[in-house]
Amino acid sequence: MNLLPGSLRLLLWMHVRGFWRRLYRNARTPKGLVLTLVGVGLFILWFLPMLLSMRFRGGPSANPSVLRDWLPLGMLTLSVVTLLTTAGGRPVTFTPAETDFLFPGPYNRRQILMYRLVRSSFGTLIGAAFFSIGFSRQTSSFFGTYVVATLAFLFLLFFSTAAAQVGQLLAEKFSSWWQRLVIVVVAVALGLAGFFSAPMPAPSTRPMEDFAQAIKALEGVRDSVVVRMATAPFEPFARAVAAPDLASRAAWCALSACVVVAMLAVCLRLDGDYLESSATAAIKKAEQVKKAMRSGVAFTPTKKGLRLPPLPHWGGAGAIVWRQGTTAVRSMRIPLLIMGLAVVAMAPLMIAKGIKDPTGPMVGILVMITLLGGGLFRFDFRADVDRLDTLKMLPMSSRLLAAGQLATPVVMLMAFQWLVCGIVAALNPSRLGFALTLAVFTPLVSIVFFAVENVAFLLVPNRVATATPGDLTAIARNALVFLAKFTALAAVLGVAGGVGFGVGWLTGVRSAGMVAGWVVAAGACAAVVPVVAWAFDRLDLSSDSAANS
Amino acid sequence: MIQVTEFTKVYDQYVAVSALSFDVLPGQILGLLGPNGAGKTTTMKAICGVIPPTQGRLAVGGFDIRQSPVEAKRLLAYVPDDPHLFEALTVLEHLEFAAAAYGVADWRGRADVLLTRLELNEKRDNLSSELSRGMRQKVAIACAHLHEPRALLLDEPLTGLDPRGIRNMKSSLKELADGGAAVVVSSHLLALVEDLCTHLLILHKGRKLFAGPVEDARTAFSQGADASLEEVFFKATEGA
Repeated sequence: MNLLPGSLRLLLWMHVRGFWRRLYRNARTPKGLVLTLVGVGLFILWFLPMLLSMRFRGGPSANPSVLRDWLPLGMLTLSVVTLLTTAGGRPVTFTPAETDFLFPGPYNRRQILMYRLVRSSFGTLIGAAFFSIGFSRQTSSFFGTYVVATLAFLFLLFFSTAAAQVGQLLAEKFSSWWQRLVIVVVAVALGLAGFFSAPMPAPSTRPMEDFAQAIKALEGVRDSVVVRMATAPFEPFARAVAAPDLASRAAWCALSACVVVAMLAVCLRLDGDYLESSATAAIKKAEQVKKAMRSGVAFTPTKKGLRLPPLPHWGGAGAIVWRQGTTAVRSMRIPLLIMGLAVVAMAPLMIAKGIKDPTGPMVGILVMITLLGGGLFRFDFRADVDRLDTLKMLPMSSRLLAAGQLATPVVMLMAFQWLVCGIVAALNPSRLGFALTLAVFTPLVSIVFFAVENVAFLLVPNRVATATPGDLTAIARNALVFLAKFTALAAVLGVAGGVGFGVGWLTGVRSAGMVAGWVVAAGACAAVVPVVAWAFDRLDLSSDSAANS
Repeated sequence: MIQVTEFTKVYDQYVAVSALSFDVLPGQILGLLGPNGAGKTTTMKAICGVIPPTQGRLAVGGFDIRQSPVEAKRLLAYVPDDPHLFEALTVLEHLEFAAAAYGVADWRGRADVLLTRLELNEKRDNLSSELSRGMRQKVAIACAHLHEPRALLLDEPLTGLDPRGIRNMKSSLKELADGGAAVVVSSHLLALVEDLCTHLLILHKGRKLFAGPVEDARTAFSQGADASLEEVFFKATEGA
């Protein structure tokens, strides 16, 4: 039987051609050309030093046995995680176009699955390159590591597909709730038996000893009979990575390839009836993407009952803040709750660990939240990518509109920033002054970041959902926005810091300098709102809309 | 050409379609009618082999869709209500792929005719991501017509089409049926069904209320042969 008919091979070739055509078409406009060149430049800057260091270094600079010892356990862990996540009957994934064209097309299930696996394999080539670069210090041959990494990723791809099919077959065979309960109980019992069969050292009270003992415990798990048997299929991959010469590497690679082919054979042999569940999942996914593209955020509104109380008019800005705020609380109720609990949970963890001054770790969390917040809380112009024409028609000044649009993400992020500052002050009252300083300055940083994100969006509108893996223009765009954010922040803090230092030096009062610095920084933040408004005013929806991006 | 025998589809406890039987012969255009949730799309997808039946047998051209799926699918084409195209492929490449899938040798000539008829000629080199909804619908229709299927299934085929597109669509379906194909059209547009279809299948909550020629439906559910399909539909479904 022909596992991959000519028409499916043609389709795969069309996808490859389409990928390059999209890159070419993106680069045809001046905007696209600049972004492509920046993207290529960034890629070279990241990739070249690693290749050069490998070329001139000669051999591995770190201990190569680390990969050999731990790779099988790592692959086993990934496989188990895959198994657990597919246990609920997660379907084999297809795009909506594939379900519309291939499922009713003249193909059997194995042929469609083979097409899907080959198509997914393209992604493993990119993933393997990242892996090989990441572990370049532990290996002597980049190419050898790349081949092994590709094989390992292929194995995991085939394994996850096989697991999905097994889940499907089990669901068909054991449809009643008690049959499924028995399967879950048996699986849990087997897992617990494996866990308790591994030797565990006694816990210690000192952190460094804890870490060393954790590694020792993990080594015990790795070397136990059960785990060694379970990791046996992954052994050739580890041996191939750590092979000392070309001949033995080739031999181990060949053995690894046999394991991969065996898993592919299992995958195709199972022939689970995935069409219905995959088609349903594809439709669901397409609806989610549509919603995300309409709202500009990854989370879709779920809870109708939640709403903010009406806000004052504020020249129209109140309605804008209310709309974005209500959307935010409806869309991110659960994520916000989880994030809040995660931050709050840091306090008892630090107390339990005996950390008396939590300032360092908490400042780290604060920086992380502030950096990630720009991408997470997109309840501003970016969320209105399909409503920009409606915003243009609103009877209000563009400055008030810009202020209203920026308010919701800034306030949301500020809530988390203040929570962290509150924990710092609560755990160490002597750091109250420092916590207060952080609490008044960090929202200003957020305003600058969100303003830059919005100006960039309004000058070159785009949709998050349209970016594809390996899209150089999207990478370049993100890098340029990141650079612009820090340049703007450096300018604001530089001027504010200079004024604050001057005032402090002239008056001899440190707090006076701090206040002066804050006033200047706040003034600068107020000044970015008209910049966002200017970007909105110059946005020409007829020629440069996100609908074209 | 299409035979559905005792088709039943159950989702957990919910019966989407119950013991449905009907035939669509060559040359017939069957209008599949029913309120939302009647089981129309489930039935169409089951005929295409996308949804496995819980019970019953579905066949196209004598080939059982479960036993000989490739042979059955080779004879049919399906246009879903909201067709999704491959984002990175052009209009012409979609037709090229459809031709390769169904083994159409002289596809370029046929593609030119279809593109002209559906007014897609100027868009032939456009990516599908650059097309409007109506245009995407036309591309899916062109792909479905390319291999001259013996059984054609269309779910809400007129959504997004302009008046000329609707007229072209209707005439092409009639031509296909005249050429001996069996056509199934699922639609809420009763005027379309009245204008186009020779036979009716009315479903309600997964059960068959009526199957037969349009004229028979008029006499079965209303006083006279001149009753509108709207009257027939409401009579049939409100009493159920």
